[in-house]
Parts: sequence; structure tokens; C-alpha cells
Amino acid sequence: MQWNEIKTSLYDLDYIASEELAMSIHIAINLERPLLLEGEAGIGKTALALALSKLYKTSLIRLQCYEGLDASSTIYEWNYQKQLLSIRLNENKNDNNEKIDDQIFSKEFLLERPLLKALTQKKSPVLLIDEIDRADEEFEAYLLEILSEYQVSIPEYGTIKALSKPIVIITSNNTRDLSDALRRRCIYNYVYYPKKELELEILQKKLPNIDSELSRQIVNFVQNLRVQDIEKKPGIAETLDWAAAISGLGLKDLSDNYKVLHSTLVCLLKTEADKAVISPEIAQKLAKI
Amino acid sequence: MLKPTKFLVRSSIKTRLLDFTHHMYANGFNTTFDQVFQSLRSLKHINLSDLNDWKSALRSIYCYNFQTYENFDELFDSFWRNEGRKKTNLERQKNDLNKNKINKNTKSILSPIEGQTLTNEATNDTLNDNNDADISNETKSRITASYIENNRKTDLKELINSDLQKRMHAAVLRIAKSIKHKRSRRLLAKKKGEKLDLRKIVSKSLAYEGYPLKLYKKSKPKKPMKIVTILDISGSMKIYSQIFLTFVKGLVGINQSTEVYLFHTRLMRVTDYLKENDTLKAVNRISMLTEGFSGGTKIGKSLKEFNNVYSRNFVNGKTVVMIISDGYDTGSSKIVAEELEKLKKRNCKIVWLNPLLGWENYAPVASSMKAASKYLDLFAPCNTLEHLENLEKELIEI
Repeated sequence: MQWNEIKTSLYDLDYIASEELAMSIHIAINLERPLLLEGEAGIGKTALALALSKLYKTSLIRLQCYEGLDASSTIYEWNYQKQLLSIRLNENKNDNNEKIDDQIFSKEFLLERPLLKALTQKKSPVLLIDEIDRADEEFEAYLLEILSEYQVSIPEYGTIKALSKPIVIITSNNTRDLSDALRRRCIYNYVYYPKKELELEILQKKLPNIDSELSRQIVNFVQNLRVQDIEKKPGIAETLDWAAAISGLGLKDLSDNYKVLHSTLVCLLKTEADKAVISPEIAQKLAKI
Repeated sequence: MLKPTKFLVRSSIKTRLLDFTHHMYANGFNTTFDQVFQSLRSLKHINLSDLNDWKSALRSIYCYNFQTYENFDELFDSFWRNEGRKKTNLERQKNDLNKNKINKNTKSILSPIEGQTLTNEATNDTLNDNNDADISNETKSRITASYIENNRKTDLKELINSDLQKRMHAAVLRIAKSIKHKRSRRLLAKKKGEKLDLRKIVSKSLAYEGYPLKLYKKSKPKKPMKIVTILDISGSMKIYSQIFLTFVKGLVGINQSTEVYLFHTRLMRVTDYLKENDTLKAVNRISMLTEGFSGGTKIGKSLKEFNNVYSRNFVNGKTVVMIISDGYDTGSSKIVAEELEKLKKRNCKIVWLNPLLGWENYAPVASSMKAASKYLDLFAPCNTLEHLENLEKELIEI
């Protein structure tokens, strides 16, 4: 599949990728490298993983990162309770110890966590490691073996190699600088806020019921809003929410009813300070541009 | 539309990619051999006749953060689209000429290159690159030299003698030590921990048929703290700013993750400049950078810039933000309070060191100072070296 084919097939799945992004996906998949996506929140980094899993008709395994994440909750863990029970059950049988050892350190007693699960699928799954910047730096080190060799070493069991190499998407909101070792192993793409035409295309694709003139106004408004001096700039997800709200309230034109317009801005402005900056008058002005 | 480079020496794609990697390395990219290898592998999967395809493929492989992603275009054009390189180089030189008002001597150095790049099509590309680099280095050193001459009158040597430097170093060491760690809430395995690690006890008890013979413990680990210093170098701070620069330079020397920003009417990140080995040299370089700026102070605006641009990447719960300023502000004090509030929301500790506080009968009357005090974890004097030395105790407590 060439990169433009990826672009068009993603388009059919309601995901509209820029050319740069499509090329990065293409390269990452063909070189079997993880794809590291950075960019502001709400511009479709996570949605891309969902779309890719649909495109390749495979499962999506998601790992949401948070501070304090460790190997036992991401890679594997032995099922200790079950192991204990099994030892007790076998106590009276005269099996030799090695046999019991083999038994309790077998696959049956291994709890697969997302990363190991991604390696043991028959068909390459899409592995989404979401918001990796929230996890500790130590966690990045765990990832290195898995991402470069696609294998996991378990001391008691041996090395598990990937049956099929997963398509790995790593996203980061840039709240912490990632280590060079991780960056070096990845194909990189920085996802910008979409340009006007692209955002309009996305809006029309996702919400086809909205009148084209109204969607043009909506996109214009959001694009202008992003230029303003606000703390939290709205992403595409917010634009879609807002558009749905506007059309749900039956507005045919943004300039129809400024009161309603201003009250719907809760979909776009997510902090108290931003609400104060975008007063009804400014909202009116933005709608007219 | 820029034309593709006509390479004069016939070479394989491998050598060109290697050359390109060197070119990227020379321009500040971290490159590895792996990238050359990946690029060669990617050739199979793209349409090579389209330079744009080639560009976005290489971009995915060679970039690794936002900055490199932004700079890639220009560097790519300068290598693979030769015509572009000449143009951008010329433009850059012209800009430099305008910006720095270089004297006649340096101009005469530059002018032959202009002629060369315009007329001399026959030079090898890499050779040309080397030439440019050499000459620009030479011009740089000339500019620096002339700046140093201008600065001789305000030399720092008188201010920083070796005794002072030694005492400063000791003070800095102690301060850096006192803010080194933060207690974390998460528990990690530790031999003499405070709590029992039940999960580990159960798992290890397997070896003794389920009897927990050994008790494993865990406790809260200490996490390293980062220091971010924001230093006021406006006119009113002039007599102190050089001493503080030495202080800050000491902090950077001890903890490489320390970030340093200078401000007067605007903010500037100078962390990288301070990583020079020689203190005097580093401080000199910075005072050169900031020459002519000691005028008014806009604390609010500078803090805003810090919040908008840098705080996301450099400030979190494990950071101490150290602002060194006298609080005299020509901007609005309302903004200072707003920005400090925003900064505080990043869960960091804010320490404000004020040289005026050491003066007798001083109360923070400067309006910015008043507005700020609400958000500060520590507000301390720092007009003498003793004050700095005593900071240690107070910093441990925050």
C-alpha cells in the first residue's frame, strides 16, 4: 500500500490525515518502527490508532500511561494466588519439584498485560501507548526492549518473541521531554492544528448534516479563536462537539443569535480565564470575520 | 519552485545519504547511522521521482522533536535543492549584515562568498559547505572580538575575584543540595522501608510453600528536583545581576538539568550558554548577549512568555522556580499576579529572591511585589553573599 492509498483508505474510515502524516504512517508500518506522534491535545492522535485498527481489520490494544506505571501492570505478572493454590493442591501427590516448577511457571499462570498481549497476537494488532509523557522515565526504559526487538524476557519462563510485529503508535502531549533513546527508535511526526481547508473537510466528513455555509463559519470561528491569546486552544475534538451543539440547537447561521452562540462556547473554552477573555462582544466579532 | 541539486560528482545514493546525514549533524541534529539505514530501507516504499515524497519520508526518519521538525524543511532544501541553498544562504548573510551592522572589515570578508556562490557553479557541493562553515566561523569570531572590545569598560573581572568565586561556589553547592530531592507519594521497594510490601511478600513466599518467612518493605523514594531560575537583568538590578549570573552558573554546573532564563523587557533562555566550563567566559558571553538591554523591566510580560513557551516542558511538581528580581516593574502588576497564579497551578515551588529585602526598613511596596507575595513559597533577601549562604535552611523547609 502506498502512502496515498493509506490516506484515501483512512478517509473512507472517517479519518482525514495530512500528507505528511500519511507518509509517516506508511514509513513506520513498512520499516516496522513505532510511530511517535506529538502535538496539542485533541487533534486526533489517539483517533488515528483507532482508524488504523479498523483499516487493517485488527484489534486495538491500548495502554493509557500514568505516573507510577510499572512493569507488572504493563508487561506481565505471575498469578501468585493461582500458583499458591496449585502448590497446595499438588502437595499430597508425590511429584518431584521440577515438575511443579514447570507447571506453575507455565503460560497458564502468566497474566498478560497490554504490552505482552500485543506481542502474542496472531494477527499484528495496533498497540496504542497513549500519553507516554505522563509515565515515569523508568517506564521508557522498559519499552526500549519491546520496541526495538519486539520481545519480552521473563526470567522464569524465557524470552517471548512477537508472533507478529504490532503496529505501535505512541502519543505524547509534550508535557515532559522524552528520552533520546526512545525518540531515536521511533518514526516521528508532529501533528499541527489542521489548516482551514483540512478542518472544513474533517467537519463535513464527520458531521455531514451541517449546512456547508454554517460549517465554513464554524471552522472560521475556531481558526480565529486559536489565534487569540487563550490558555487552552480548542482542538478538532472540540470543534466537532461545538458544531454538533450548534446544529443541535437549530442555529442556521452563527450571526443569528449571539446569546446562544456565546452560551455554546463552553464546548470550546475550557478554563475560567479563557471564558473571561472571550467576552460576548469578542465572540460576536470573531463570528463576523 | 526550487530545482533539485545537480550533484557534480556522480555518487551513489548511499554516499549522498551519508553526506546528507553529515549535513544534518553539522546543523545541530542528533544523527545516527541507523537513520541512514532506515532511509535506504524506506527507498523501497516510496516514489523516488517525487522529491516531496522523499522529503516527508526523510522528515519522519530524521526528526525527533518539535524543533527539529520545524527546521527540517530549510535544511532539506539546502541539501537536495541546491538553488534553494544558495538563496537562503545569501538571504541569511544579508540579514546578518543588517542585524549586526558589521564593520567594513567583515563585509569585505563576506563579499567574496557572495560572488563565489553566484558564479562558481563548478564547485563540489560538500566542498562549498565546508567553505561556508569556515568563513562564517571566522566572521563570528571577528564579531565576538569587536564586542569584547566594546565591553572592556564593564569588565567583570573586578567584580568576580577568586575568593568571592570560592565562597559563592560553596554557597551554591549547599543550596543545590538543599533542593535536590522531593519526597514522592508512590512507594518503591526498599530494604529498610516504612511499610510492608504485601505483593512482594506473597510472591516471594512461594519459595517457602506459601509461608511468608521474609518480609519485604517499601517506602517513598526521593525524587530529584529541578531548578528553574529566572533572573532579572534590568537597569535597577545591574549591580547585582553579574553576581547572580555567577551564582546561577554554579547551579548549572552542579545540576545539569537546571534551566536559566534572563529577562528585562523580554525573556531569553540562556541555559545552553551557561554550560561553558569557564565561569568568567560564560558570564561574559551572556553579558554580551544582553548588552544594551538593561533598561525597563516587564516582569509580568516576561513571566507570561515563560508560561506560554517554556513552562510546559520544564515546570512540573518536581520543580523549584527561583525568580531573582527587585520587583520594580514598568509593566502592570496585575499581570504578574495572574502569571504567577498560572505558574503555581503547575504545582511547582516558587521562590523569590529580592536583593532589596536585605535593606533596612524595606517593605515590599513595589506593586508587583505586593501582588506576587501571595503565590510565593519563599520570599527571601539576597543582597549579600551571607544571605545566599543562609538560604539553605529555608529552602529545605519548602
